Amino acid sequence: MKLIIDNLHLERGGKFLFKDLSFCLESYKPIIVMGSNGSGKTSLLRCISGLLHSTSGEIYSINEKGEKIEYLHQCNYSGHKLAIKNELTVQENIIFWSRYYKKEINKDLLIKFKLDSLSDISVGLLSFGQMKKLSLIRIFLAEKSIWLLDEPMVGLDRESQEVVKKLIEKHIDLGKLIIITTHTDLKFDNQILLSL
Amino acid sequence: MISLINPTNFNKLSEKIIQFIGLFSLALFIVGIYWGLVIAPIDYQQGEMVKIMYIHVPSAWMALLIYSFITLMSIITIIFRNPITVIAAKSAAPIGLIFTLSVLLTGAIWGRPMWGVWWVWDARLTSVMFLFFIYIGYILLLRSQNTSMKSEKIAAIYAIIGFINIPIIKFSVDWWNTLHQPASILKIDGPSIHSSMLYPLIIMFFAFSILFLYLLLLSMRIELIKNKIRAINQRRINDINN
Amino acid sequence: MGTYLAIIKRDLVISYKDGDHIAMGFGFFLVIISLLPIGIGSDIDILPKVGPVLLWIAFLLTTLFTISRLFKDDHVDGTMDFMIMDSAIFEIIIICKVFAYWISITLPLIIVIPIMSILLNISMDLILPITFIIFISSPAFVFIAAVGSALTLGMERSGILITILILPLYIPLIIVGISATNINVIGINSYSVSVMLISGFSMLSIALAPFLISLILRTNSY
Repeated sequence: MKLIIDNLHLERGGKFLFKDLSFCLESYKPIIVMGSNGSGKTSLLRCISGLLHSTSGEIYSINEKGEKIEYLHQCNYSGHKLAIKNELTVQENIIFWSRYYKKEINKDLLIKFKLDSLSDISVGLLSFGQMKKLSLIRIFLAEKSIWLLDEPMVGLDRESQEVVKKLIEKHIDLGKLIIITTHTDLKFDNQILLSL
Repeated sequence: MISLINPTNFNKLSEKIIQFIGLFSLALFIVGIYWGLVIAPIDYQQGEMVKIMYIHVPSAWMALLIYSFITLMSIITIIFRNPITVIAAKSAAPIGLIFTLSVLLTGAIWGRPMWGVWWVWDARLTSVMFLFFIYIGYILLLRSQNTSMKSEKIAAIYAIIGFINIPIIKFSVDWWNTLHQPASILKIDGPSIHSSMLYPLIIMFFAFSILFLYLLLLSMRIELIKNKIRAINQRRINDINN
Repeated sequence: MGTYLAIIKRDLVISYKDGDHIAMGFGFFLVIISLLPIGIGSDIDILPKVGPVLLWIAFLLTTLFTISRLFKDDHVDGTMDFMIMDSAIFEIIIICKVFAYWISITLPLIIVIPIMSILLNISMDLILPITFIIFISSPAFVFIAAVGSALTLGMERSGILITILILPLYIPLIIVGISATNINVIGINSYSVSVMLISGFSMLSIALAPFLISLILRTNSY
């Protein structure tokens, strides 16, 4: 499976965020998007995830036989908005996702993220880093084949960053697709650096 | 003196007396209900229906009394910032709401055979209904933001503003000519009710008051425990962060 | 199926934990209803005549004012993003959300309508027909209001704007619904015809509104 971004233009407020952007996302080749604030990293991910309409250009995916296929339902996006419910407890949030995606809950992940002992606490009381970890659990739990991660490491301590990095590497090793935007140094094997 | 009343002292004191108060209220209820329903005479106009008075009238007094209590606590909250008065006002509100609901319901049951309708929109009934709304509004305001001193203060100000409704309810039967019978007990020239009905009524009033005290202490203790749980949870989160 | 039940359950748990929202809708309903009788005073003859109209007005205003939050939380915290991406089922997700709203806000109102009817001195024979006709028109009310909620997503003071946008769409419902139980309107609508008309209207809303809402939310997503 490949994801092809073909000649993408995005105009916002009379200014082009990116022009003639073309690249191909393939298995075992994670793409790291770097760029300064306001350079359109988030917009690019939202374009790919279908949440934002590009001015022109095309995004499509092809399977092994070279046929165009629908990819949106195989995509998962994690952005600045954490997509967690402050009114619910940690556990209630996770149970909701596991029912929503029809996937089993991975207890190890909770333990690695040190959220297991907080499972009965309302998310609204957690610190930002803990909320961010909880929001990433949704991505890991859903196990979709294309991950679009916008600044996944923001707010995480060193230990948790390692855990996230390992999980991303595992995802790559399975031959699945991933695009990550970041400010900090992130190194993966065979990575392609995209500067906006 | 007010600074002496702090959560720790309150907890110790209330733990000792709470069961005694509950039993006392129960005893008063048994005496009051037996006297009111069995011994006391029936009204020559209203028949047995008059006996709902022993619930209706004390409930009405409690509804007003509890609101006055909340107002008093709110004033103290604003002036002295005592944590106990905040909790007292907060805990009293749902109890007052229930008593107000009880006035409205027993009133409707009483009104149906007397007036032929469940409800009339006269001054007394309507103002009690608005007391009900004010209780709801106060509770919602208290809960609207997270438990911070600020939201409690804002709710306290609202409680004081809402107190304007209390004299309106009390005097509405005298000021406006309405279906509701005028006051027969708290009058300047003495009560106009026969002592055989007055005594059980007074006992029921005390039973209700002590019941309120019991429920108030109980829910204040629950509120304190909730605060404690909140603090513990906060500590758990911080421990993991460090 | 699990996905949809999960959404309904989550929304119900949230609205139960944040019960103020339910209480506010409820309080709003009661206050609106008690305003008119105070103005009229204790004139017992007028109240039963205008009572049903008052119930309808209070019911639809409560719906319009409380519905602004339907999609707001999911939009603000980003949950909407991943739901939109599961595009094949997004319309059904919308139906689930509206259904959860209906259970938590609308159903309690319908349950107290008989009590309110008694307070308004509406004749006993009319109480059940009125409650029933409001009950079957409630899906139409809620789904049309949900369209307004989607349209005004992300705006401030959206409650008032929703009212202006959506109230005109309610007019056929109100005319048919109120005349159904109005003894003064003779001939045009017998009760059963009104029931059928309103059921049809509700069915149509359930069928069409989710597609409209999905379209609006997708356009609105950035």
